[in-house]
Amino acid sequence: MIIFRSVPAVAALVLAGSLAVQVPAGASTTDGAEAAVAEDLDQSPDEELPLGDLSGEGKWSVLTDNLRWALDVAGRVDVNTRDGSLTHVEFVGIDLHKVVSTSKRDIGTLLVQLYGKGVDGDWKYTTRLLYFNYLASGGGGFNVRIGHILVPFGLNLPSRTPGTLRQYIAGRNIGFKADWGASVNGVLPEWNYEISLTRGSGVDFKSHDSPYLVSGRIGSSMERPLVAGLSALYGDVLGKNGVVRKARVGADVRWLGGPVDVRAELSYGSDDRTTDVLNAFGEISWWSPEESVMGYVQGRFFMNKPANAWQETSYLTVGARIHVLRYIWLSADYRHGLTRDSRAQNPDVFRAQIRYRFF
Amino acid sequence: MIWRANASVATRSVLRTWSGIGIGCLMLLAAASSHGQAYCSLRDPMVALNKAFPSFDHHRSIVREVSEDHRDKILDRLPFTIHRNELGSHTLYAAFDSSDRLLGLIHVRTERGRWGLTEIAWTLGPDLRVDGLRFQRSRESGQAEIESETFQAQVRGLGFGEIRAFLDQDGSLRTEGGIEVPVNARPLAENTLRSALKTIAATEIVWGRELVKLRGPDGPG
Repeated sequence: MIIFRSVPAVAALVLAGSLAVQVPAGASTTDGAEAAVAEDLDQSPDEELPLGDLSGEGKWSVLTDNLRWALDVAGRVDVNTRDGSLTHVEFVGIDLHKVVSTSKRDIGTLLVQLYGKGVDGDWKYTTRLLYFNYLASGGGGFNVRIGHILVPFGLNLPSRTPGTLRQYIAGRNIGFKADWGASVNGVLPEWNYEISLTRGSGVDFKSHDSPYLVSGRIGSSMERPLVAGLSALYGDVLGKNGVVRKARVGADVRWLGGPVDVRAELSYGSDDRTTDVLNAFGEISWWSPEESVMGYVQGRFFMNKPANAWQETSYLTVGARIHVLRYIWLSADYRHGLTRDSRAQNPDVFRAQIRYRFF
Repeated sequence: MIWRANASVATRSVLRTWSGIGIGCLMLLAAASSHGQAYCSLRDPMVALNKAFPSFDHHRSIVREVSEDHRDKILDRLPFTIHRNELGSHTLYAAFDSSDRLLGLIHVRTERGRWGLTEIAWTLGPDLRVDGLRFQRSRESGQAEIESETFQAQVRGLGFGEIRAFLDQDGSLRTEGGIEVPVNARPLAENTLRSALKTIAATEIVWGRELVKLRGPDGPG
């Protein structure tokens, strides 16, 4: 368990180290062709033209080279339609992506997503994602990711939903979307895979009750219109009431056809070895040609069998997202409970969000 | 009544929070540009790199900002317009063998298709001639025909001017004497050839300085 206690420290070291491993490029030559291009670009012919230097002159280039960053601001209102209560949630954070490189080789990718989250005006810090993905093999077939990483299970990979109303079922099925730890991952011509060992405590790193989670997914190439994957996880996941031993196997599929996407995920397993669990998710989404407008219908089905009878909770969600201005996205959805047992029925919820993202 | 009372309290609270956030946003608005998706969705074209360069050993990303000035220069060379959303950060990937010899370049462009956005990974030689293409994401019909050897053989080794000759003055696919492609794949073929022109022009204009360095003293000028 020592490895788990050291994860945040290692992540911090990686953060610091990744910014320090940049190797300055050597001086360039200035032959005729180079001079011609430099002249075309309004550059002095004898100006150094190193790789690994964003500005060609800045002393901060070791930090700014291959760097993307954005400030991400979102505000959301949730309306409980049963009692009319409202909750407002705000996010303000930074989304930073940096490829750490030498002059001729990428070493890895640093991703930093640090946010402040306010719920009804009560703010707290949250680490959405924070990892370094080291390219252990140059061809991309074997990489090592360390930090606060997405749990590789089902539709949780690849990441498409951070900061959006549109979500899948990882939060309910696993307990969280991201966890502290490490994974090995790779992209092969026809397959990709990721296998992780993580703390099992989710957003916050917590060691009490010694949680852990082993999870993995192998899937067909993400570049094809039809993608299928198989997943499994096992571990003691820390929740509000202590650890729960979770075991799951799952399958997921996504298909892009014309303006429509179809996504589905099915997982089966147990909680604490005593409760059978069957979770299912299905979504049909429609996209405009520029993908500035998107609408979706989702079905979520959660079934538990603690004794002899299955208990079911299910929802139907209808939502949409519109890119209204260059920096602004509006989203809304309505979640309707379909649970047959009215005592277990949760109220319908309407949510609306405005998101402003810029760099 | 409960609804109204809740709404009133919530509205005051939201306004209080957002007034602070809004001021900060306005201060940064002037210099803003955007990227719609969180950066965790970015991925390197590893499949394209491995398929295009069998002796590929490692790669180097070069992220550059496509500015309004770059856009104007690119537009000067194209027979069609390009969207303002194409501004912002983009990545050129340089592939090397184990001796650090440059094998070629991968440049992924996002194009608007009939049914949604299409991502095309272009493989270019150091001289910016087309080596091949591969769809990273597409909702269009005709994808198999465009990725076929029949189509790729017609564009392989061609530079900007030769590919430009496949299109009319307005950037439409020439009906006669142009590229040979099945009827069902013609819309995607037109989009693909436009993408090739844009890719070559953008690579040359935005990454021109880096190309000189990558090619080395003995490379193409």
